[in-house]
Amino acid sequence: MEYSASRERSEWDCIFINGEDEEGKWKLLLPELLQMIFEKVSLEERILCLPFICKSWQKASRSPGCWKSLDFRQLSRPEFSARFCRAYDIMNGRFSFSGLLKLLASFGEVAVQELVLRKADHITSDALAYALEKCPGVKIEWADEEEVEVNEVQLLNEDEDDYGGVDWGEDEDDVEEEDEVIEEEVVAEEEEEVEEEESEEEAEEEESEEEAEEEESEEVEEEESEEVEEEEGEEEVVVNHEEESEGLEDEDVEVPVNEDDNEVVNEDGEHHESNGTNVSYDDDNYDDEFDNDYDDYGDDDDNYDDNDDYE
Amino acid sequence: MSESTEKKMVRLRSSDGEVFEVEESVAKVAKTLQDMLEEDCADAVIPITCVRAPILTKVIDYCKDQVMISSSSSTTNNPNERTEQERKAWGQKFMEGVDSSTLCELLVASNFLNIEGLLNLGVDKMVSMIQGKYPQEIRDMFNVVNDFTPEEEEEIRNQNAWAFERDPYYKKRSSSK
Repeated sequence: MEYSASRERSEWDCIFINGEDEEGKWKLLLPELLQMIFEKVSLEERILCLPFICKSWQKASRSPGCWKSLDFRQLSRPEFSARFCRAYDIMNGRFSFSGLLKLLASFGEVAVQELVLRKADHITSDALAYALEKCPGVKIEWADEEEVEVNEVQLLNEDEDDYGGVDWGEDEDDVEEEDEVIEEEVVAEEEEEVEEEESEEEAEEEESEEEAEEEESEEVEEEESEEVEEEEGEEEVVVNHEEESEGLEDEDVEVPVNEDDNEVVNEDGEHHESNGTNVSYDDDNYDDEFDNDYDDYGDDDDNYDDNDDYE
Repeated sequence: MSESTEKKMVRLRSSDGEVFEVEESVAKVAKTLQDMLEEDCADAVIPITCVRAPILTKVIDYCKDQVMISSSSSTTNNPNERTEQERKAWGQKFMEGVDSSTLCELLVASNFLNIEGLLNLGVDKMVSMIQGKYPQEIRDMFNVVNDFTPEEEEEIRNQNAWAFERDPYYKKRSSSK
């Protein structure tokens, strides 16, 4: 009934008698209805997508009712900030979850009832105060104490994990990676300790690698002994192996020796300890070695890395 | 339920002129109709001005199901949870083949007739259709036209920048808006 009061008769006829006018149909969705729908759409899409559809959707998306629940857990961290900056022309690096909180608080105002924040987002007290002022009735929940821990663990793992760490760093957390590099020098000592613990885990992984290695080493040994002689001189003969070898030590000189060690020793614990002081699994060292040395190790190294990837 | 002589029938006329005859209990699932019926206009044909016949058919299906569920649960003492689950499954199935255009009309109809359950089904369906899509995909799916001028779109992009500025001037300007 409200409909007929607020709409032109002819428009009604067109849509509701003939079933025509597909476009017009959607205009008839009352803002309240759109709001009901938007309210249930994930926070990420409410922010990044809905306002850009058309004017009426934009208007509906700005009504406070759409922002009753703000759950920051729904925002995937590196990805969301990048998308947000792109969508709203925010200079890269300017984005902060504090800013976002202020923005959403200004959208929802009194309507905001539930606010789930993550400590890891480093919300400033300034932004929090702003939100509390704008949204008096709001219930704030801090969701992520676990998540923070997880992140710390991840950071450690990135230092220690042979290959996983390298991958993550390159893909997403460039900034973090830089930090890590600095940290790694400091943490190096700690790492040694942790590595001893980890060596148990890695031992499992590497057992399989070693089996592969042993099999291969028999075949390759002869070739290698030849290669070894060449290695010292010809490190830049980069072959197209994408992986680095495990037992790499300081770059050039000692390489052949280590290779021998690996083959003889075949035990991770010892292997780690012997290497840990110098280099072991540090990302930056990897990179260096990656450039210079991976060619030296031929087929053995491929096997290592294949194993790691699948596990 | 069909054998009773007391069953009061109600006639509904869709916007395109088709007349449906349904039991009163079915019609009363729609709160709007319930109100009308309680104000006693039982014999007249009730015009549903914004719902076309194919949509009204669907709506009536829904209402019939609701009546069936409530009557069966009252006679057989089913535990509530189970009927709740069944209801959910049925609701999903009910919305399964609904395309975006029908969905829109269903939303309008259930809103107009004030059928909360059906409205929620429609809303959930639409949310699931929107989720994870790019704006253009959504426009295509729902036949929505991007009616922003480039300037207006630019404005949307820029109007949120204040939150990310350190400059207090921006804060003031935005809060005074």
